[in-house]
Amino acid sequence: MVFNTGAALLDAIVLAVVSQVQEGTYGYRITQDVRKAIEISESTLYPVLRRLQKDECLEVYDQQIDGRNRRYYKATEKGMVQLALYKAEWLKYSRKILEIFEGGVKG
Amino acid sequence: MNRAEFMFALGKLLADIPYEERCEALAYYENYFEDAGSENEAAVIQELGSPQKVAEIIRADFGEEIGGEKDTAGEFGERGFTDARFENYSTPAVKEETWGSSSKVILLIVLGIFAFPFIAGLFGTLVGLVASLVGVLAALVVAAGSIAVAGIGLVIGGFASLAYSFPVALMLLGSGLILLVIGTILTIGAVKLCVLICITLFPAMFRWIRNLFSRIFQRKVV
Repeated sequence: MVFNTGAALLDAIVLAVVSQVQEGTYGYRITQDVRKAIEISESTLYPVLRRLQKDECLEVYDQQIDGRNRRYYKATEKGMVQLALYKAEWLKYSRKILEIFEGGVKG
Repeated sequence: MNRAEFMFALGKLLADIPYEERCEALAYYENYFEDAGSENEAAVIQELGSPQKVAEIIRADFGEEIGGEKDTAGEFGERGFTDARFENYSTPAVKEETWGSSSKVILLIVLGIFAFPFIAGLFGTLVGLVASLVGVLAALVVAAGSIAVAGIGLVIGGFASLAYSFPVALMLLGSGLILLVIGTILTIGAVKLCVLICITLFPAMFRWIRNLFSRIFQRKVV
């Protein structure tokens, strides 16, 4: 990938990935899903999840799976609002870029 | 490094962050390994990088919250996530050599002059030790060989005295053969001891001397 992904965009991508699974999703799966879109080291995702959790954009719950606890992450109300904001901002941003790329800057 | 070692190292590296944060982080990575499955264990460890790196990333994010400083250092680029703060974390600090090369040479010469008696003495001692060891070994071989030769002499004497007195000849022959056998065994033993010492002790000694010198000169020249 040529372009850099800033902290806000990464937050947005993680929020989007988590919100797509209604009942919540877990760390390993989130990492795999995010990595479908961007190249990211597996070790970078934990702090992002932890921060979003502290900002109350994500909530966590534990569920028994194969005799052990698995931590699930789920988007909160606040997280969905935040994601909608990110999406709108991204749309504006990418549209402007596209305009310049395709229309050119005419006098 | 396997999963248990990785988690143990990570736990130790996170010892100074608050208990709750540490538990959260460790639980996350335990979970991660479980979900990846044991067949992917090596791949996950490879991808995560060193425990040091993982700990630094966790710690950096945590420290930022205390300091209130927003994280803008990290970026996702062509090679994935890069953060200048983590680039050199594993490189140990190297002591800078500040002296010019000419002053280093002069220092070495002066040092050489003053240290010459000491070095010569040390060298002489080493050569003497090696020579004495060689001498002792040679003496052992010669002594054992002499016993065998004495045995042969007695046997010859025994044959020679057969004409004069049978009992004397028998006694000489018998003791000669016994000496021959003892001498032969001792000679073989001594030679084997020599070979053993030559193939084990000497190379080890030379290696030790070489290491000593390389250590001395590395510190001063490189």
